[in-house]
Amino acid sequence: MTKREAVILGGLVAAVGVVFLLSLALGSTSIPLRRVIMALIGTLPDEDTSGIVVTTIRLPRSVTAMLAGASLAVAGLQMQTLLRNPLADPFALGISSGASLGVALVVLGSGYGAAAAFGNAMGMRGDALITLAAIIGAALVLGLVLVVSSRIANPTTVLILGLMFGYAVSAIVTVLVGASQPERLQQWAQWGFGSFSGVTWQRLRLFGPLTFFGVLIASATTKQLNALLLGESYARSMGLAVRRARLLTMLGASVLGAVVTAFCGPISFLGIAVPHLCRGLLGTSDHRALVPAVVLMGSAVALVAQIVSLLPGSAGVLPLNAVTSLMGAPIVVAVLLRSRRGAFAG
Amino acid sequence: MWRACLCAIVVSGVIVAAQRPAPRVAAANLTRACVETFDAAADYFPDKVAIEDATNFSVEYRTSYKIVTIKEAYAGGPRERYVLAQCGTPPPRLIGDLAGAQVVTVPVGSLFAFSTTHLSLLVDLGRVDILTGVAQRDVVMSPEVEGRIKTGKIAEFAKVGRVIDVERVVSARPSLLMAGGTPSATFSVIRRAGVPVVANTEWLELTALGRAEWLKYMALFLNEERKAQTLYGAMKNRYQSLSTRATARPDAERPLVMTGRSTRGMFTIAGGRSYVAALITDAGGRYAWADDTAVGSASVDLEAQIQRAANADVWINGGGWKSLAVMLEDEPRYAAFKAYRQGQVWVYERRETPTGGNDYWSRSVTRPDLVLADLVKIFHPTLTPEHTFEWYKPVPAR
Repeated sequence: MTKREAVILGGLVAAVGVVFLLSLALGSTSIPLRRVIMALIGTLPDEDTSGIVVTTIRLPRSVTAMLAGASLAVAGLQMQTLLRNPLADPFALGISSGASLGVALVVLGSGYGAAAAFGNAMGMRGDALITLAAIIGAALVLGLVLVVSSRIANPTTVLILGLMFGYAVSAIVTVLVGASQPERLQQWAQWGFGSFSGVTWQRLRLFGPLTFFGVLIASATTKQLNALLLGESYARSMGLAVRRARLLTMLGASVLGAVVTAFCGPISFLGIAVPHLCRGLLGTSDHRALVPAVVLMGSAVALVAQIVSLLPGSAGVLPLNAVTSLMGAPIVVAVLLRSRRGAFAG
Repeated sequence: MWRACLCAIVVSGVIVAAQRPAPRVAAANLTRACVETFDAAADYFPDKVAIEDATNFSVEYRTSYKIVTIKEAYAGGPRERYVLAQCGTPPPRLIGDLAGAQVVTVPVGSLFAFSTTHLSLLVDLGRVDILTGVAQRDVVMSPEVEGRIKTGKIAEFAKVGRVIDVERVVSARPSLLMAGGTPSATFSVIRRAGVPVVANTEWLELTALGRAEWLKYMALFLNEERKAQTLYGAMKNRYQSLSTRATARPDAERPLVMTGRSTRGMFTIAGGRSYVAALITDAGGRYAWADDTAVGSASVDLEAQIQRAANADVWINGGGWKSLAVMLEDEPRYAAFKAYRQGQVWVYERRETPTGGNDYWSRSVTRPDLVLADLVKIFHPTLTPEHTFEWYKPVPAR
C-alpha cells in the first residue's frame, strides 16, 4: 500500500466518523446537539421523546446505513472484478428481482392470505414476513443462476444469464402489480423506495452479524480478486481454482446483496458507483487498497444519502433510492471524466 | 237568451279548458317508469335535491331533464357535464355550453358500478334491483348485493387488475356505467359504443358529510331524489346535533388524537385537511397534525410522529392489528406513544360483513353520523352512554 493510499484511507475513516455523528444529530425534527449527546450517553429520562428518537430511531438507522452501504459496495466491487464488467453490481445475477418477486407475492399476490397464514405460523408478520419473502425469493433466483452458471466459463455469458433471469422474474412481478388493489400497490411502492429506517434494534440482531461477517469474508478475497484481475489463465497459473473461487465469490456477493435488499428494500446505485468512485480516488485497481476503501466509502455514501433523504423536514422523506442515484450519478460521471486512471481496469 | 248565455259559458269553458290544461304535475318522480304521453308543460321532477355539503357536483333542474356538473372528473381533472333526460320525453336540444354533453336517460334501468362505495349508495336507496354489473364480485361487501350476485344477475366487468373489460361492458349494454373518478382512455371508447359513463368522485370531498351527500348524486340517476333528500337530511341532523354537544366540551377535556400506522419507519397518517381530521375536530378531539395541509393521507417520518404525538391520548385508524403485543412485534417503537402504553388504540374493525369484508368500508361512507358517534364515545366516554359502538373497538392487549 502506498503512502497516498494510506492517507486516503485515513481520510475516509475520518469522513465516516463525521457523517455518522451528523446522521445522529440531524433528523426530520430538530433536537439540540446537547440533548443528542445526553441521549447517547444515557443521561436522559426514559420517557423523554428526544431520547427515544435518538436511541430507537436515529442510532439503529445510522448503523444500518453503514452496514448496508459497506455490504453493497464491497459486493459490487467483487462482481465487477469477477464478471469483468464495469456495469456489474451485487444484483447482476437477478438477486433484487428475486427479492422483489418474494415481496410482491406477499404484498400484492392473491395468495396473500396463504402467505399471511404461513407467516403467522412462523410467528412473523408485517415487515418480518416481507424480509423473509425477500430472502426466499432472492435465494431461489440465486440458486438457479448459480447452478446454470457453474457450467459456463465466460463471465459475460453469466452476466447475460443474470439479466435474463431478472427480466423473466420482473415480468411476473409486473403481472402481479397489474392485478392489484391501490392500497396494496402503495405498500409495494414504499418497499421499492428503499429505507434504512425499518431496521430496528431487534432486526439488527440478525442484520448486523450477517452483513458484518459478510463484509469481513468478502474482504478476505482480495488475493483471489487481484489474481482474477489479471485474467483467468493467469489466475489458474497462480494455482487458483478459478471456477470454485468464482462461484464462491459470486455466492458471497449475492448473499450480501440479498440480505440488504431483504431488510432495506432494493437500494440501487451504491453497489455500482462506490467501486468506481474509489478507483478514481485511489488511482489503482489493487484490491488490497480498494476493498477497505470501498467499505469505508460505501458506509459514508449511505449515511450521506440517509441524511439528504430527510431534507424535506417533518413534511416527509425523499425515497432513499432516488437520493442515492440523484446524488451519486453526477459525482461518478465527474470522477470518470476527470480521472483516466479511474477508468475501469477489469 | 238565458239558454244562449249558459251555452256560451259552457262553450267558453270548454275552450279555456282546451287552451290551458290543468298543469299535470306528477305526484312524484318516476323512479321505475318512462313518461307515456309527453306534456311539454309538465314538471317531471317534482322531487328535487338541494346540495348542501358536497362541493364536487351540482345539479340544475329543467322540466324534463337535469343538468349535472362534476367540477373535477378526477383529481386535477376537467369539468364534466351530463344531461339526464327523463325517459319518454323528447331529447333536449343541447346548445352552447351543453353542446356535446353526454346524455343519460333516467331513471336508469341497469347499472354497472365500478367502486364498492357505489354499491352502498344503492343499498341505502333500496335500489340494488338495478345493479347488473360490478368491477369484481369478490370484493363486494354488502349482504344485499351478495344476495343479488347469488341469483346470477350481476356481471363482473373489471375482473383482472380492475381494468375495465370494454367488450364485456359494451356487449352487456347497461343503461349507465358509473366509474370511480380516475382518468381512463377506455371511457371514450365505451361512450362511443353507446354506453354512457359518468364519474363518481365522492372520495375527493374534504368532509365526511360531503362524501355522504353523494347519495344524492346516485339518486339523480334513479329519480330517487325524495328518498335521498330525506335520508341525508336526517343523517346530517344527527351528525350536527352530536357534534355541537361534543365540541362544546372545554378544551381541557378534548383529547389529543393521532392516526395511522408505520411501515418501515414511515408513518402514513390522515392529512390535516382530510375528512378524518375534520371528523376528529367535529367529535371534540384535537388532531396532532391539524396544521398539516394534505387533503388525503400523508407520510411523515416516524421521528416526526413521535415528536408530535408521543403524548397523544387516543390513537385511531391504524388497523390490521390483532393485539397490542403484535403491534410491538411489527414496530417496537410504537411503545413510545402514550396512547399505545395506555391501551387507547382504536381500530374500525369491530364488525365483519357476512362475506368476511370490513363492514366499515361497506357502510361508513353514507353514515358519518355513526362514525362520529363512535369517535365521540372514544373521546368523551361519558357524553353518550346510550351509544353502542358501531365499528370501532380498542386493540386488545393480547
